[in-house]
Amino acid sequence: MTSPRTDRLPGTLDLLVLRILAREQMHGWAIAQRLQLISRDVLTVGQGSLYPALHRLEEVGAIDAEWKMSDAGRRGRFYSLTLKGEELLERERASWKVFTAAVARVLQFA
Amino acid sequence: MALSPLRVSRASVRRFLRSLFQRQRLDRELDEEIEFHLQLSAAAHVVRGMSAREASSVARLEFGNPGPVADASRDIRRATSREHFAFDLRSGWRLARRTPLVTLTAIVVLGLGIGSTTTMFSITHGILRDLPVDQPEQLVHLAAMNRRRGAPESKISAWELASVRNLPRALAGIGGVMVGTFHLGEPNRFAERWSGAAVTPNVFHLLRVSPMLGRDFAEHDARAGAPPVVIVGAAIWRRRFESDSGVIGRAIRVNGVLRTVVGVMRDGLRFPREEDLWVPQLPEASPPANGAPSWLAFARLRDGVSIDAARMELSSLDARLGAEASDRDPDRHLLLRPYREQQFSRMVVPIFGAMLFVVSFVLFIACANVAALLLSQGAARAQEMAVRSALGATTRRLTVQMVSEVLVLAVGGGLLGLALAAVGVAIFNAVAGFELAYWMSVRVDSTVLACATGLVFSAALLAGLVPARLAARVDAGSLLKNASRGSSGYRVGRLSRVLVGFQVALSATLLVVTVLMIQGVRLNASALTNVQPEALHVTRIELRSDAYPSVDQRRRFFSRLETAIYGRPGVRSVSLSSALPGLDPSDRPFQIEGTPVPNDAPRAMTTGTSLGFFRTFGATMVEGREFARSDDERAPPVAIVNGRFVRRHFAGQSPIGRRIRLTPTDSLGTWLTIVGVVGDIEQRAPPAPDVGMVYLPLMQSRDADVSITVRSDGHALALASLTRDAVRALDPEVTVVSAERFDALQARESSTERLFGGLFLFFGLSALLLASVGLGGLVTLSVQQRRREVGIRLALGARTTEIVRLVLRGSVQQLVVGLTVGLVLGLLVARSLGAVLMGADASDWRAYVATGVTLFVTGVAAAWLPARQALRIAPTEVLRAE
Repeated sequence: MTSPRTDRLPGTLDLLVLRILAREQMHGWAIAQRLQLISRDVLTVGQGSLYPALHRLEEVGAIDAEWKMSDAGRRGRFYSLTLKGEELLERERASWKVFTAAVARVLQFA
Repeated sequence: MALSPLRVSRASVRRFLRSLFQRQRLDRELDEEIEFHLQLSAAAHVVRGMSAREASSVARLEFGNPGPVADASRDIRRATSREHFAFDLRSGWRLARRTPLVTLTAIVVLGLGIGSTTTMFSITHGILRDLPVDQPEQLVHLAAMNRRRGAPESKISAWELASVRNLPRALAGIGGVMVGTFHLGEPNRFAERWSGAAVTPNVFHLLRVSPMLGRDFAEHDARAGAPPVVIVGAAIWRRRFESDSGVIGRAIRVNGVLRTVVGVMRDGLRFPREEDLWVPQLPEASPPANGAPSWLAFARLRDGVSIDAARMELSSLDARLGAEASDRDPDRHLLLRPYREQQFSRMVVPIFGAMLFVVSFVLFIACANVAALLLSQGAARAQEMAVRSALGATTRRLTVQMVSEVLVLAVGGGLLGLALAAVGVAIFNAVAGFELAYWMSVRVDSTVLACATGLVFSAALLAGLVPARLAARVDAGSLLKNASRGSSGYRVGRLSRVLVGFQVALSATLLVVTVLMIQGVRLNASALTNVQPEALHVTRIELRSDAYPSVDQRRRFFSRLETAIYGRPGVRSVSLSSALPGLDPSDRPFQIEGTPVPNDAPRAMTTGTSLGFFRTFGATMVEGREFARSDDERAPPVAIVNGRFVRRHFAGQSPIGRRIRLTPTDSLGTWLTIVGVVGDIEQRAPPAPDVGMVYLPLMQSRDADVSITVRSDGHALALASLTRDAVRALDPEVTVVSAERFDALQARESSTERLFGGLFLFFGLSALLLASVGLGGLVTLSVQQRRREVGIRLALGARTTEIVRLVLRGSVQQLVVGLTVGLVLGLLVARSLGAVLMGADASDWRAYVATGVTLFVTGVAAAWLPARQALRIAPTEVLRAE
């Protein structure tokens, strides 16, 4: 099965990351694993885009990062959603729905 | 034009600072994060059955090259504000180098503004310092207030000090100080005179300072019959005892009393002002309740107690005291105020406030000047801004960019300003350093540096914001369309003109205040012009009370000294007097016979004078007679008053034969017959037209300190050592306090006023210079912008005068409008300064005329020079270039 690139559409990766972080605080590797797991291996994210995306979101203040001990006993960088991030997630989610609905309609009726 | 402040969120500032200062940490964190990822990834592979080494390499393979990832992340983090800022600074730097003349002008202009302000700030900051003791804010001054008079008196009486001394609970103790002159003497050595203080033994404990050698005073040191002790200051220890650490326990003669040295005070403490030795003393056991106020009293608030709480306690205590003592003036009460207010005379804080206020005008003018300068470059910049704005730069982004560019200029100006401030501070210390009390120190320190840095940023904002906002707001479309015509739009030109008018107005205000201040300074410095001070030489001596205890002995010494000096070659006249004209202001209340004593007795200044006084100081008798040799201690007491006294107290009628008496000090009860009226000699600076003068024969007064003034045939220097030698020949142990030419003495006495005058002159001239530069720059610009118009007019045969008039018309308009506004503003400011003007009349029309004419002439000249350029425009060239 071919795995579509998460950055096929701009902003998709941000939306996915925000959604995953909405559940709990997580470090980068866990985010990648979780994305893969939930999407049943359909969506995989290249590290080359995951970390820049995380840092970009941090820069705009949508997520916060802190250094914490992971279960494995190593220091890891954990990301969590900020209030601003929650708002962003809501907006992105709504526009995603509008967008996919529109695409679906085009595919169906065109 | 409404300027909205730049909105910068705190988080973005934090991120910016982080990116600025924590670059290495960010890099390290990034590496650590990637490493963490790789390890987890490898661990997952191990779980699925790979060997550790294999898992590690697979994980790295899956991750790919970490370089680009790291780069991408770094870019995200830094490409924001810091990169922009660096870019803006670089672009500012490039711009500055591309137009060196503009850059140099801007830097010099800002340097003058920042330099003046920083100098003034250094001086103010250096003088208005706290005492160098632990928690100086806890120190309070115990003053007295007379409800009738209204002004607080800084000293309280021995009775008041003794009554409150250990009572208030809010205070950790009350200390008293009496400053005086102390003579240190040993046989066969010329006496030395030092300023010292009699202090209650708890004074150093209250200040929380301790001697560097020996011990502090103890309460028993001040008891009656205790062995006399003294604590000497570091200066005496060094000079007189050659830093001998074995000085403790030695005995020295202080004012004729043998005292044991128990301590050497640490360096840098000359409490209360410039004192170098201290002897313990307690207020007398049972002083009269109406005694003269002689103690400077201060206290320390207990930890955590506010001054208001202490005030409440003191006022209830004071009320009880008033009820107890029936002979105490019922209108008198005690009050507490922060010690700081006692440290500085009443005028110091407002004068320095006024000077800071005035000097900030120079900075404003400088900023307006640079703003106008930048606007003049507006045409070129406007296009650049329009292009950038069309390409998507936000208004805020462009504003930040332009302000950052100005920051480059402001930093240059700041460096120049600091150099100027260093010079200014050095000049100040050379001229007025000796006037400063021991805790004051004027230097360029970290606070001054911080102030200068703040000024640099403020200047960048002030000078950069207006042109930046304007340029950033330009309508990109229309501007790009019109680009070929090179027009900068009407608005920019108008704003430049407003800015120049603003500068002229501020300069006019500043100059008015400057002229008035200098007038005040001159009133203070040169109260005496009719005495030919260069021919006078003054020697001051003091007779110690232990060596000359009786009035008779002192009078005999003075008389012998006068005879010894008089008749020497080169001496035209000699005068012995207790005070000198223009230098020793002190007055006391008096009563005229036959008039009741009002609550507020009239006051007059008094001076004990020898026979030669009036001749020496060039005063002539108006009526009656001079003092005669027969007016001695056996003759009836007499006085001579001056014309001002007669006008004020006798309504101009002849006072000869009338009697007055001075109260409340030594001559109380002795009626003095007025025998003569003498012309006015200005006895006080600034002149006090309301206070009359009473001269007493020296042979009938009780003075122990006199100034011997010798008028020479030619130059005073020839007589430099004559008086000193005469004094030493009579008695080598008499202290010669000072010996110098009268004009040098006058100059020293008025050095602070002259310094203020000099500073103001400097600020005023800076303002004038800056305003001229601004005006000249504007005319240059307008000539450049109107080259084509001028060219056409010249081609059509316009006469040169018409062209010049055309170019100058706008400038003259701005000058007149700015001058009018500035002179009115100057009047308002001068009125509000009041006493700060040191006696000058705020509405003296001459100051306004002088300012107006000076500014107008300078302004026209500044505009005229570039206007002449217009005449050199060759019509053919301009038109061909189109």
